Amino acid sequence: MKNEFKRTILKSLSIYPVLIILLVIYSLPILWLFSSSFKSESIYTKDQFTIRAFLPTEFRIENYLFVIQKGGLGRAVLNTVWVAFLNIVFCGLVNSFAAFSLAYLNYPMKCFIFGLIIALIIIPFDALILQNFITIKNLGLLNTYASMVLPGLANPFFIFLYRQFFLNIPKEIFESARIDGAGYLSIYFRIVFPIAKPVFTLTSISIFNGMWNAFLWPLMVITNPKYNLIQIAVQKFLGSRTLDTGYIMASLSISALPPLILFAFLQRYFVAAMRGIAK
Amino acid sequence: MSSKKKEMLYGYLFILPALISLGIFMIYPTIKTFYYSLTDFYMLKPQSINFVGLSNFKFLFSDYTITNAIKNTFYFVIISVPVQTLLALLYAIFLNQMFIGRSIARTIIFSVSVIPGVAVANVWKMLVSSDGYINYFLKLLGFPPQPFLNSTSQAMNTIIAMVVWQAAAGQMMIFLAGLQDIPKSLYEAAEMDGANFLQKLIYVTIPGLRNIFNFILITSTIGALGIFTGPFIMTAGGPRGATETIFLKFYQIFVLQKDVGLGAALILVYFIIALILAIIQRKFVGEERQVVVEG
Repeated sequence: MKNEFKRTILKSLSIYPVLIILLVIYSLPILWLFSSSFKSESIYTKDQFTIRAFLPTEFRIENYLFVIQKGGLGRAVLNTVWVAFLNIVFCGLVNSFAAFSLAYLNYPMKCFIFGLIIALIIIPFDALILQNFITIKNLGLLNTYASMVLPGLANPFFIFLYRQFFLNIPKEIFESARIDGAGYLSIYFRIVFPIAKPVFTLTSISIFNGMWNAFLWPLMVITNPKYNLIQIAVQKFLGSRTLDTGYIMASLSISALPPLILFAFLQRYFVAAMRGIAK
Repeated sequence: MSSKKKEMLYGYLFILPALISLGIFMIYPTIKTFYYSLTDFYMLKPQSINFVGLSNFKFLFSDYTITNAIKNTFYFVIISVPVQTLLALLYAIFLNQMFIGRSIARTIIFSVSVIPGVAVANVWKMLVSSDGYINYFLKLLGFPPQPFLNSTSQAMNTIIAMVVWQAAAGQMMIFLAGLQDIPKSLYEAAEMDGANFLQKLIYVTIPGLRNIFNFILITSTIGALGIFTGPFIMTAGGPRGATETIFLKFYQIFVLQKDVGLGAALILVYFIIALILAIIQRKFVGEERQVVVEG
């Protein structure tokens, strides 16, 4: 036991030189971003090219207040959270309903429908933006929240993922509820939904990240700043005028923080998503 | 109503919203995009759509700025995908060793992969500018300053460096998960046969990660073909077209110039390559293993 511990320490010492280089490459840009977001231009300039550039030597919250109020980023954050929420609810319902139907109910053409959905997994969403833009335009939905919900409502991979999870729920639970006279909708909400919470958490995180990162699609369908999503709002704000570095960094920090916070609290889901999906 | 009929009715009701949505936003646009690529549809003149055969594709492959964008995209894919995959594997092997602070080190590096592209692209743009930190460190080490994004020969490689930096951090985690699944007994057997580190890597580790390689290589190739945000923010396709990509060109042609026919033809280039890759992946890896990790 003691030898084992000694070996770990020796091993650590041999690893640290390379590790430090790796951590510097990955963490310095991020430390620089967040530290500078709290600095005034004079302090930023004074700290530049010293170790202080990577440390929070000043705590000027005004930078954030400015970009949130004057830069319109507050509005964009709310828009993004709202659109993400709508997507989580509707995308979750539509796809898990479909998966529930495929997993538990029997009807003609079911195999064909399932085969079709599986075949659609390989179609990349990005390839469809041309016609989807025209469809949204013809429906009169440019510059609406609906334009950022409808195209991604059904997701063949989510249907597949939910179905896999539902199939692992023992059929007996389902059948005994049927015998007790429960309807399909109440079986879904009272039995399947609570058991399947982990997979709903997984898809919700993935939907939130997708919305928070969305760039090309909102760039196409939103021209009215009232409906801007966060990444577009940040990019347009940065391009609109010459700004103090502190303001630039505060804008970028707002763009970067929520996924990082989510990651900090739900890291095991991020890892599980990758692991589950990769094998 | 009999319970069989009721089951059928509910079966269709539950799947109907998904089918309608898939029909309108996936199947219909797939067919429509193919159709439009054969027409001269111009968005401001929706009344006069004429069938023009393959002339959009002929134009596509004769126009220098478009072939240049396709070429740049291929260059980006061919360099960035292998480099980020190899780097991710090295990170994973390195961080799979036992040492104190291992899990915090993994978390710090992995967390970089969840930062949105807009933030990363803007930070890198500042880092590589003429008065940025990279040139400052080059000067400290005695190298002359580099133009990076302002140079036709360095701009694309700078964007590749940024993408590789971030993507390798995310893929590392997939490799780390894969390393856990390789049975320890295989390494012990190899050690008994006197295998060294390199031999264990080639004969045990890499074969054990084969499925993960397939998954990562193909999903990141499809992702890389669609590169847009990075060059859009850092260079807008410049200097002199050096970082123009398929999606930047598509944005110009379809969104700005409203040329639907040509836009459809261009996006089909992406569509068809991505589709072929996805089919290859399905052949290789099977149903469960083929989905994109988002973010």
